[in-house]
Amino acid sequence: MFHCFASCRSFYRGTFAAGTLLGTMVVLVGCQSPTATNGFRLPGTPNLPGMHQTPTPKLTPGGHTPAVPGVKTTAAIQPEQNEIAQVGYFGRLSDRADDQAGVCQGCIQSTDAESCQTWAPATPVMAMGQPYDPQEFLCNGGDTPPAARVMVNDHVGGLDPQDAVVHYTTEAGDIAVQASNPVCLYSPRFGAIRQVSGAVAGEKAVGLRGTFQPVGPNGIGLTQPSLVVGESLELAHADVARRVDAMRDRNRGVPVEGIVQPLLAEDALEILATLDAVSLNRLDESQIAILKQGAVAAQSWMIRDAVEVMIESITPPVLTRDAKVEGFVRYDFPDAGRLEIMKVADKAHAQQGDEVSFAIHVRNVGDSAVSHIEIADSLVGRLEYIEDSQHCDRQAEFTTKGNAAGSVRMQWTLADPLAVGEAAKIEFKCRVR
Amino acid sequence: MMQTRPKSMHTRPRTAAITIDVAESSNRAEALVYMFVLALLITLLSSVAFNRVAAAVEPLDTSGRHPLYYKSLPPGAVWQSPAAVTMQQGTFQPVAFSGPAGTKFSLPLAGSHSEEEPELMAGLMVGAVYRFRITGIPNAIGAELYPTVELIGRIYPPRGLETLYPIPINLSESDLQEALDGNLVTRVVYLEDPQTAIPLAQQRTESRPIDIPLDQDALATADSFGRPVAIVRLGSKSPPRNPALSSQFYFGFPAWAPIYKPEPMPETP
Repeated sequence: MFHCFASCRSFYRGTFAAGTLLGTMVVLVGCQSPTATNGFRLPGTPNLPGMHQTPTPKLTPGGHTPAVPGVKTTAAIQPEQNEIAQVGYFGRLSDRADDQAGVCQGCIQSTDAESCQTWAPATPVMAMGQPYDPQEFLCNGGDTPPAARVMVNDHVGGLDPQDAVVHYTTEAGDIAVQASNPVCLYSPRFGAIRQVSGAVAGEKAVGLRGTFQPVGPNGIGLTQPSLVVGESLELAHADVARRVDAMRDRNRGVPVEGIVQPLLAEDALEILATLDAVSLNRLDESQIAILKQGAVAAQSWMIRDAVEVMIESITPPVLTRDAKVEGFVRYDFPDAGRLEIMKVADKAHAQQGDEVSFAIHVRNVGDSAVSHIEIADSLVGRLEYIEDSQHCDRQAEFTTKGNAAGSVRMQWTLADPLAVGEAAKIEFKCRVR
Repeated sequence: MMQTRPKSMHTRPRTAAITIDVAESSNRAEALVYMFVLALLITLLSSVAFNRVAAAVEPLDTSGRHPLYYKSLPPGAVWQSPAAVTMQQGTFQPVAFSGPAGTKFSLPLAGSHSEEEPELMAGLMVGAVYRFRITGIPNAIGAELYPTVELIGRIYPPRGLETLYPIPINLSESDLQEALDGNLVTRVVYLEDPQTAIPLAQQRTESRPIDIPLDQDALATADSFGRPVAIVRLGSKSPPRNPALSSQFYFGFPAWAPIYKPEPMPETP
């Protein structure tokens, strides 16, 4: 449009075409997108099932079989198998039908009792196609955004109420954070809003002052006034004080505990840091040797009619033969982390006031020992930790402190490292508010 | 904008509804001023239009003159609103009534009322309006109340737990006293959002409500705390004497399903 105005000489002596204003109207009309009403939701209409975001762990076809490893005590893992426990192997309960532990599918074996306890599923066990409302479930575990991270002072940031994570240090010195599975109990709670309205509002009576009622014999034919007030008087102004109804706010504050992402950008450029071409946009001759070295290393990975396995952190063998790639097979180990954490509950549904026992199992499924293990669990507001109800089968320091939801944040710091295949088990009780 | 048409200029046919003529002697700067003003106008109007779009996706503003709930809103109107047509009607939702000590509840049954129970539980149809009776009100011997309950939503418990987790209709003594004093007490029962739930222990029969003043919208307030599922209105003290008005008073006697507590099993030696 500006180009037209600048080039048309007739504009100076002439007119602003009506099309210009028409264009304005087009802009206005064009802004009224039909999607403008998408955000409307009539308060008072129930939310459609599934509208809310919810963590959706995978459900195995059986519905009751969790896609998580079976729970074994440490004693059950170690002595029977002389070889190293399956490195990176995820044993599923459904695969352990022949195992003794597999007999107790879908449950945990408590250390206190031999009875098979039912466990709360990671996701509500509902029939196929049956709708459900996530607001009716009381979930705990997992890692809701922002993701939990270990800060500089070993403080776990981003641990929101409902999160349960473990962080540890590997042999290589890396610090990793692993979130547990969410555990959901069916426990709806209801509230009520009350509003009392009457004839007196704002200290001003609205109503009849009096009615004329004749005294005498009935049936004279005198029309008596109706009891219905046909005229509604409304207040023009009322000094109604607005009260604070509740101090709750749906917007939970997002912790800003130094979770700054530019550190990740540094990692992304790390591989290019040795090349000056990144900044100069041209290749220095001194870099050719580095490129040559990389090319040789790339060729060394090619070999005809042979199978090679690449293992991380191990220097590849140097091969001088010239070959080409004929196939590429990638092997993924099941979990990048070396600790797996699972959280279970002994109930699938709970009334208000009921006690629920939770158990957290942490097992080393990696190929080396890990140390500085710290398990943190932040409870939601409707779960009240019962004092002195926690138990850890390993030596650990247990601390609690309040969290943003009005409940507590529990933390276990294991004193000793966990070797390969070893596990730690924590149990505690909560009361449903 | 004003039209400037000097007399010396020859007339030209009007080709559009609005024309702005500038004298030939006008300089370039003046034309640029006009262009700038028009561009500014377009920008302002466009921003206004975009703001309207942005405001449309915000939560519905109920603080103005279009409340979702007002005291003269008849029972059943919320369900019949156009926004509710996507919901299914005909589901029986277990509802549990409770009140202060001594109160008893009963639902209409065959021209009369069912057996009075202090903790009545019944399956009510979602979308229908029921009028029940409260007797045994403390400090009001012989008084009765005929409140209405209107289910505007349901809950989705796992199979087999339907009667274990009913929608509670908990009435306090102050509710009943306010109704006996001639006031209209409205309770909007909502399913609480666990993410923003009050971290205080409550029982299922807890009748402690959140009181709001008259200038607030009860339905919108309940929606901000969770999902509204039921509306209870207390105010009627007696049914009409004319039997012809009975059906209207009881909203057509919608069907309800009785729910009985299981008899305790006798202990076998």
